[in-house]
Amino acid sequence: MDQEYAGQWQRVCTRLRSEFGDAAYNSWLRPLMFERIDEGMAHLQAPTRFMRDWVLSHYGERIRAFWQAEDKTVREIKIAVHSGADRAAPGAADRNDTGVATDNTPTPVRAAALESRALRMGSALDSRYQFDSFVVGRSNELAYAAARRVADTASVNFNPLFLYGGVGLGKTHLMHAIAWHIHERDPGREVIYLSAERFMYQFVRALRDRETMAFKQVFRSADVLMIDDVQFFSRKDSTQEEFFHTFNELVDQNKQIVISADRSPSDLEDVEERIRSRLGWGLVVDIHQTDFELRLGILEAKLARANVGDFPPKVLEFLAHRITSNVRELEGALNRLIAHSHLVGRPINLEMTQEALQDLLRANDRRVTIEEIQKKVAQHFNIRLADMHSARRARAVARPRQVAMYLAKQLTTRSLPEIGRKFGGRDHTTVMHAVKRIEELRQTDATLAEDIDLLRRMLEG
Amino acid sequence: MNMTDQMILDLPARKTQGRADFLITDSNADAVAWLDRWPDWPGHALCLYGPEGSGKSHLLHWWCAQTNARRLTPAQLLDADVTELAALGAVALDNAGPAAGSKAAAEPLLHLYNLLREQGGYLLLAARQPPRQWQVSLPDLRSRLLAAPAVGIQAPDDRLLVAVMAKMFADRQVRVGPNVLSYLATRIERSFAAAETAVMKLDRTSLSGRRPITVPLARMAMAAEEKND
Amino acid sequence: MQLTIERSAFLRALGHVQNVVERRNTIPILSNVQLVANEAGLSLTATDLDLAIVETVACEVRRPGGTTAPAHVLHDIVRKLPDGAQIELDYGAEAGRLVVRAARSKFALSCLPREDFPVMADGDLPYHFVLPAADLRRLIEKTRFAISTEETRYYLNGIYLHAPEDAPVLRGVATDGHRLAHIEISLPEGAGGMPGVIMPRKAALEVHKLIEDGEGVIEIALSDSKIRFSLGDIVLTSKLIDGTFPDYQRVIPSGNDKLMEVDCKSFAAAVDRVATISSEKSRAVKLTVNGSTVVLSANSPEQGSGTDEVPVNFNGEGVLEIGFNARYLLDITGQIDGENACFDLSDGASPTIVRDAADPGALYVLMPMRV
Repeated sequence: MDQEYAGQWQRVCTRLRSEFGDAAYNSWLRPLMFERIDEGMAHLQAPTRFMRDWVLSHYGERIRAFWQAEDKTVREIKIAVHSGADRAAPGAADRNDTGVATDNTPTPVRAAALESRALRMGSALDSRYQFDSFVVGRSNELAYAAARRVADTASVNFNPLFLYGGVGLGKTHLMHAIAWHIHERDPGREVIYLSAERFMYQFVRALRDRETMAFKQVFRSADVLMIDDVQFFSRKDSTQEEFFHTFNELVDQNKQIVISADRSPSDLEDVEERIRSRLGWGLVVDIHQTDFELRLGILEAKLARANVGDFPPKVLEFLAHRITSNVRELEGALNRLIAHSHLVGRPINLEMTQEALQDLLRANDRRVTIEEIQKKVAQHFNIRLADMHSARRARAVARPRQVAMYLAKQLTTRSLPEIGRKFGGRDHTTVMHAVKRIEELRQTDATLAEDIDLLRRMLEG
Repeated sequence: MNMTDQMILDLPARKTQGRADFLITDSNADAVAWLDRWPDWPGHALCLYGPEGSGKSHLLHWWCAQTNARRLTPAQLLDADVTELAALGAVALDNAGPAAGSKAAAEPLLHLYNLLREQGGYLLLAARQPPRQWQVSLPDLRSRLLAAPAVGIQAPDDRLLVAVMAKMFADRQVRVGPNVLSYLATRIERSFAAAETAVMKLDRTSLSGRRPITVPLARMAMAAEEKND
Repeated sequence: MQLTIERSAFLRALGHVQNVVERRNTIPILSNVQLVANEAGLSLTATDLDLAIVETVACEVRRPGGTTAPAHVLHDIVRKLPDGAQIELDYGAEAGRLVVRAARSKFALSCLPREDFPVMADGDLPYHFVLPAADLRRLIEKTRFAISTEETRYYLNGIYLHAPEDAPVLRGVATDGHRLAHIEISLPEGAGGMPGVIMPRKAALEVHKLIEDGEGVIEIALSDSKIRFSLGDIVLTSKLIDGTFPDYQRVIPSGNDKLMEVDCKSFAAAVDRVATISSEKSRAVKLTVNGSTVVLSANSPEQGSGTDEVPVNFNGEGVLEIGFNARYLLDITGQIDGENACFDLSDGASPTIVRDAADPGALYVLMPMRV
């Protein structure tokens, strides 16, 4: 019996959805839960009192009518507020039920620390950052080759290896890849990878805890020491001093050092001269800005790993073409796109990409003004700008004026009285009428609909 | 001129900040979906942007309760020990745009971002504008922020504006008829902030004059508003 | 049902229950009082769906049973019967009618079936405590003037009754947004863990009528949705207001350091005199406190002006001007039992605290008017 009632509720929902539309349905009706029917009363539950009141006053009568059509004995609808709604989060549960796939979305691999004494001092390594996931192109091939060389051979050919380049181009990726590779090939070697900020923090803590000896010992016992983003320990004299000593000692012992920064050694203004020159002793390799081919290759490689089904090549090209700043932002955009597609349950296409990434793609979020709308509309329909404010009622000026009012309502957040004022001090009911009229005409007048679309695109840029 | 010279006690309005109290509509559904999806995010950080009064604070509150996250203002970020913050596992930052753009807060924010990432934590950044428009001069921070997913809350449409005001009145435990809501909706700017102002104004006028909230009262309150402008 | 009952006992009980019955009802049976006779006597029940009152009276029952009859009509009949009369009630002799007989008077009242009379479910009332009727009477008397009667804000249409964490008291707070009354009585045993509840205005006023003599004790039982008062043979049950009372502590100022003490009676009399002038709508009276006097003044474009003067103790420097609604000042001074009223002032635009010099458990907050 309960099963039957639940089925009725499902059918009532379907009818509500088609009558009120997806937006209203999702906002108000979907969160309702069916409880039971007894003595002609259908009991539902809403998460909050506000929602209950709103649903009863706006949809109550229709719910009752639809239900009665399903089952004549149902004469009344009662909605209770269920407690503990905060925990239940009905929207969330619902979305999962409707089959939003969550298993093939890219989840961050929790950085896994290697079981090594030295690595406890260092930063965790990201298992996604390996050599085989690094896409090589003209701009980074030299850096890649140098990193492989360091990772593949136990002997030290150049010390230090200094990688530099703009943000998000893969320096960190290469350093992690070196660490993973060495760990795999020769687990006995102590590899310490850490960011400059972490080095500073560890050092300051060692000073505070009077454990500088232990600190020195750990770092000076490393076989390979890699420090990322050394531009960040500019200006910290004692840290630079300590780094310099560690550096020298390791070099003396013929241990490998890998350093990265966002600029070349000679451009690290805040670093002491003697350290700067030391950093330039070994091999200095820069990673250049990516080119279109590399960006496309990176996206393709990433997609292959993410195991995403159909992905339109056009969208990949679009991303590679539009997001040129760096690899990090490029990958970020791809991640975001895939997640967005899962979230809203829509396939990825060019239109959806532009919509989902609009804040990234649009250079500024310029607000359209009523004045611009009036100007563009006047130009388009070839009337004088002054006619936007004039009292003339001839169709030739009245219609464009209505179009401008309509666009002002759609494209700005201005109130109706405000829009009226900007159109020669018209009443807000005049604006309301114009908006309604144009909405109707759009349905029947294809030329006008096209004009409006064109104007909208021009205005929104 | 107000209809009455009686001043009113500044009784605080009730705050409802649970997940279920949040009004989910087209304009914020994406934002809610992203937060609901936590921790299944493509990265460890998320930027949430939307105009004043669009409910960011409510969402942040809810997310923090859910994740036991620490919620910070930019000033608190400056005072805090970033390492200790990162150890908490989840952090939410209000007004992240100005913070990321400021000289003083950019570096702590970058380090917080990095540490949380290393330690498997999460970072939620809220601001009025999308990260692309934050004036971030620190390149490392800027590229990280731009790589993180950003989700926006859009300006409300007319229908949502009515619902938002109904919700605001309900939060204030005040009874209003639908005619008052539609009267207001056609006369105020289509923004959350304008809705909030109108509701507050009407509530106070009604309380001061001991009158129920009706269309004539709304007309009077709005007229007083325009004169003050 | 057939029984004989003594007129004065019946009239007293009817007087209590008919108060609850609204004069006009869209649901006819709500105009009726339910009468049920059994071994305990005759019990009378009236309700308006939010509030129900049941009173049991001793009588001589010959045949148990029950019905419902028009409350106000029955009350009027019994009121007009001679004192000391023995009244016979008989339901069953005439179909659908209650026959009321006393000496040579006879009435046959149309009845509605008892089965249709709404029953207010008691539910579970986990908190209960007993308190002196005089305490409850005081709490209601001194807060009721501040209850809002404007229905837009339903959560202000009652007295917020709660046991605050900061003091061992039972506190009643009422406000209409213009003034606030804050009354404390000693905490009855067992009331400590009770939830804060908003007792509707009507329930408060009905209970107050029952305890006007202030004798004996009253038992209160409550949950977060209902409250029940038991007083001898009378039980009054009311729904509570389903709302959140505002955080009233926030509007009680703590930094008002300009203290004015005034003889309450002469102050009230002066306010009343001066207010004769002020316009009907605003009823504003301006207080100008200067040294050892307060000058009260009122102005009306139509009527002219008036001033009066009362000596005060004032610790502030200079002159302080503040306007109030005269009605509100009289409402508050009317609550003050002691000789002196104390005003804690800040400035002409901030809330003012009024206290009863003789009663530390009473505190009032009043918002000024622009004058």
